[in-house]
Amino acid sequence: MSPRALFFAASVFGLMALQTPAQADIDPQELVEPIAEYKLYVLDNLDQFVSHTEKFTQAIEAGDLERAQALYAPTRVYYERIEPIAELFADLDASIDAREDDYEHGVEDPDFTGFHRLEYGLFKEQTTQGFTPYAKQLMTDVNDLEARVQDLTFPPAQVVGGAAALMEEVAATKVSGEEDRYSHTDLWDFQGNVDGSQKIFELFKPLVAEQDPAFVERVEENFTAVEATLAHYRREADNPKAGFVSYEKVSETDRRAFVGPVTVLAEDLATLRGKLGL
Amino acid sequence: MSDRPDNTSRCPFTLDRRRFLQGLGAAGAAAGLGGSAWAGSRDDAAGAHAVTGAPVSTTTQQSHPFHGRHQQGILTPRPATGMVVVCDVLARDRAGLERLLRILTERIAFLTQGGTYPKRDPSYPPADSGILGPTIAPDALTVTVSLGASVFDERFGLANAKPKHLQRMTGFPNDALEPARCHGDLSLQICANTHDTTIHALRDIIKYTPGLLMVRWKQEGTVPVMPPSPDLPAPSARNYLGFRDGTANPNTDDDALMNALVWTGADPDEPDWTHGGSYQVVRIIRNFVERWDRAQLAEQEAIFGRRKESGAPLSGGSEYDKPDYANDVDGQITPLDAHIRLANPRTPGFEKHRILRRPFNYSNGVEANGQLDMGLLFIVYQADLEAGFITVQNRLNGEPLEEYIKPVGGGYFFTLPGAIDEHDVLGRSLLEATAPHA
Amino acid sequence: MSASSPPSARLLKLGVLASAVLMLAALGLFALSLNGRDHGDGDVRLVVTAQGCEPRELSVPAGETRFSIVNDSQRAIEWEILDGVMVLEERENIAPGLHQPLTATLAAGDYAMTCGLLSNPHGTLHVTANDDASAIALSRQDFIAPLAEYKVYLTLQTRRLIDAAEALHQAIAAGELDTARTAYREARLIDQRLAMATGLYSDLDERLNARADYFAEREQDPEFVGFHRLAQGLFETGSTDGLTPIATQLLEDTRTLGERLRHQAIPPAQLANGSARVLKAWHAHAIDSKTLNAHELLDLQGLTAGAEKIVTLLAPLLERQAPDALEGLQAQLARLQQDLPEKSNTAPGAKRSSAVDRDALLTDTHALADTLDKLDRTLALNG
Repeated sequence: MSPRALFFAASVFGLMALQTPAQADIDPQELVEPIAEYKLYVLDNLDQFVSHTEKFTQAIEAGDLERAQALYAPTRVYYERIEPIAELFADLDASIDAREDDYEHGVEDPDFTGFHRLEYGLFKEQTTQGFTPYAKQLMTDVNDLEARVQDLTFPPAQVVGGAAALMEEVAATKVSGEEDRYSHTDLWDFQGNVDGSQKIFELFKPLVAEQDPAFVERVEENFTAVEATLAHYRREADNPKAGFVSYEKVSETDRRAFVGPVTVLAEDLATLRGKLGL
Repeated sequence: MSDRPDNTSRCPFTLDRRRFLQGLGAAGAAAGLGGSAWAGSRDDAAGAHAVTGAPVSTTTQQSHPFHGRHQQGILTPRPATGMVVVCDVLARDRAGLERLLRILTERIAFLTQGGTYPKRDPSYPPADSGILGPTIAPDALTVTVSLGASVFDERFGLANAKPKHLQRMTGFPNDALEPARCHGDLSLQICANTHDTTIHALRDIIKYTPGLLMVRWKQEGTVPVMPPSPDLPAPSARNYLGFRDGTANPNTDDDALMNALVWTGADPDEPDWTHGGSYQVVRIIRNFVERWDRAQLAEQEAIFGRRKESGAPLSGGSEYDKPDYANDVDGQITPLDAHIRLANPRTPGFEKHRILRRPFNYSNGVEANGQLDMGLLFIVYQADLEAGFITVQNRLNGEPLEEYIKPVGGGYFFTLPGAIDEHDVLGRSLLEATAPHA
Repeated sequence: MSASSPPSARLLKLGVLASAVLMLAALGLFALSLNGRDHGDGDVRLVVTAQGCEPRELSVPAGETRFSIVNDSQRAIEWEILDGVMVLEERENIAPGLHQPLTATLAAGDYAMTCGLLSNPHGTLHVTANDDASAIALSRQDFIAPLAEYKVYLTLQTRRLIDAAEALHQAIAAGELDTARTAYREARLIDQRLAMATGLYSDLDERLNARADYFAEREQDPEFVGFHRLAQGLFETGSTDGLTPIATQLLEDTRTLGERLRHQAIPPAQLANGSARVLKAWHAHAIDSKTLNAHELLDLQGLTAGAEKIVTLLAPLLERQAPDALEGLQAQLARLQQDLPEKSNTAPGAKRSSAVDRDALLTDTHALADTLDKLDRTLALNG
């Protein structure tokens, strides 16, 4: 079965998500372990995020344009995975990951900083000149984020809701290619969001598997479908670290092909909180 | 979504996907203060809601029967609002298409008759958008489902069952078609007395078809309402050029005429499954209204071939009198290139080219040049696409009206026959006709 | 439309409430009795002799029970209620000839009781079902976040403990006394932060943390292993000789601890109750020392850090239920932290224990433990 065929087969299960849900009968105590595991996952990713950001910002400060361009996407991935938690800190989320559209004066806005400001410099202006202050600020913000997340008691509803939130993120900004409009590295972020969502789903899956096996099967199939389409655009089939080709190379058909499983995942995962009684 | 302005120096556009954790406590406190500042637990003083009380309608309980040989929304009297939503079908196997058609049938049957949504555990997303409250009124809603030519490709095994004339719309000389507003696998024509009812229906359908449908484009429209009048037939509604539109429509009470002009079935070359369906043409026709409003009245009337105020033909009489071209062969009264004369020359044998118009006016916003983006959401139905719209439009190519209009989008679709009872599903005849042999 | 008819919202709420209450009753965590039983009269008396418990089997109704434990043996004892290997309640350091009260809230089921010497057979405690479980204010959902965060804390600390135990093992195996002493302190400090959680497992707790006094042959008892055994070698004997098997065992036990904690469900009541218990155990032991030595101070530092984490976790709930209690608790914690010497002070050659105010430490430890002990009641009964 080709990945495309798999996707199409998988995306037709839409309606079941909307059947009247059963009453949640989950012992709240059972949520403790997956939430703890999730925080450990987030901390691991933050750890990676910090060390990747160090290398990325060092490249900018050293004026190594090519290296900085190469490190842009692999660094962001860690942030995209943990976005449900990272964006709880709105000030840092804005200074790390806001896009120019979020500012009145766009690219020229003095408050526009972070990855997308650097993206504009590295990929549109093709320079690292004058970006040392942005790089330093980014490093400070990322370290600050790690410290804050370490001290954060994770809110269960946000953790569980994060699975759907990440798919909404994909549906809203990744499929359209708006996220990384200069670097066209959207597929990296896409994969990061999907990874993060899938992780949450995997952690809570045992709790809902008995209650609603069809739900679990459907979600798994749609994740598989998304992964399969993503796999088409890997630079090296067997090496996930090599990442993805430019989003410009994604066919119009495949862009729309993402919409089906992504929408079903968003719709299905939106019921996860209800299924877990949160 | 918490959309409060935040306290940084950034612009007031809030980032709706970003929440401000530290702000949660402050917001809670602010909400508390808000509560105590407005003393009194109820806001029901007599005049308190003169401004925001819901407007009243006496027609919310109007409903059209969903089941029948034909779908509603074609011969059904046109209500005040309508929209066309064209989708791509994402489910690309037959089972997915069948599921889609079944869900659409179920949703439309419910929405058009009204009813109450089930309540869910509040930790789940609600069963409905809730924009019309827990119980919805039919409000004369109709949802008409039609298929585009692209559905008859290899995905669903329907290739051998394509209606004879169904094709991808090609541009006419005056068209400036935008790809983002053209074509598509499936069109939904949603009409109701009030705009919110159509929006509600659309959101319901989207919510219940995840992974099956993706909206490709959508155009909303309205027609101006008029006070009740003793005159019969009622005068036609006006378009945004100020002229009455649809005057020359065939008589929808005449079953034989409808079977000839609107419902597919008479042509032996059409597949059997199409019987009771119809060809639907949708065109988004932008009107250059500022320029039009600066054109002489005489020129406007000459362009249409009708009086602007009454809708009567230039040859005299009232709106529903037939124009007299026989005594005006060289176009002294009604120019030969007047819109209505080109569209229907009233010559013997032209009867078969008549089409059923059911348009709405649209208004979208402002163009980059500061001019209003508005015009006609042109919708017509006919038994034979070639004989109907395509023939008529080819006759209209080059008409003087083109200076004031620009078709920018649309598509051709085939409206499915109706679902005859609660066991039937829209598209059943098509699926049965194409069922793989066991 | 979906054919199945949804349960009404009210029924749903009732169902959720009912299941929450049932789950609570089952675990008996907060189903504290509100009827103000007269504790003096209702005490369940249990005598611990040199051979074990009398009676061997006890039966009490579910809910709150006040036990009175009489030590009729020749040495100090501890008494615990176990659910499998998990310690639910304990009373330490009951002197010979004396009795101590212990109040426990238990759900229906069978439990084990320890009965003095670790070699004595366990007794059996039957807890019978009891219908009138009282209502509770906080839902169990409120504890998900703090419990999850506590699990994260345990996991991260356990990882560090294993690393420290590895370093300790290496130093001992290499016969490097000074390195081993430093590694010991590092490991012990983390071990004591985890004391409450380790206390859930009687076997591991015994192997890691039991003092010589609890063994029949005291220091000579072959079962006497763990931190105290290593401390005896490293600091009293002043040699790594013969300690390698003990360090190997300790390393293995820390790994086992990590494994078990990973999937351990911690009942909400254990958070406050458990930290009170370990602080009290320290107090019960320290009160016998005229001056506090560096080991005792180090232990208290670890325990206090562990308690601080618990206070931080419960703070949002207390803020809602009993803001005054929270303020008091935080003040007591701060006072104890002030009494404690800086961490570096326990390093060799630093200010010795004589420089700390022993009485203040004992008083403030006891006060904090007492408040923590009452916390479950505060959380459950207010609002």
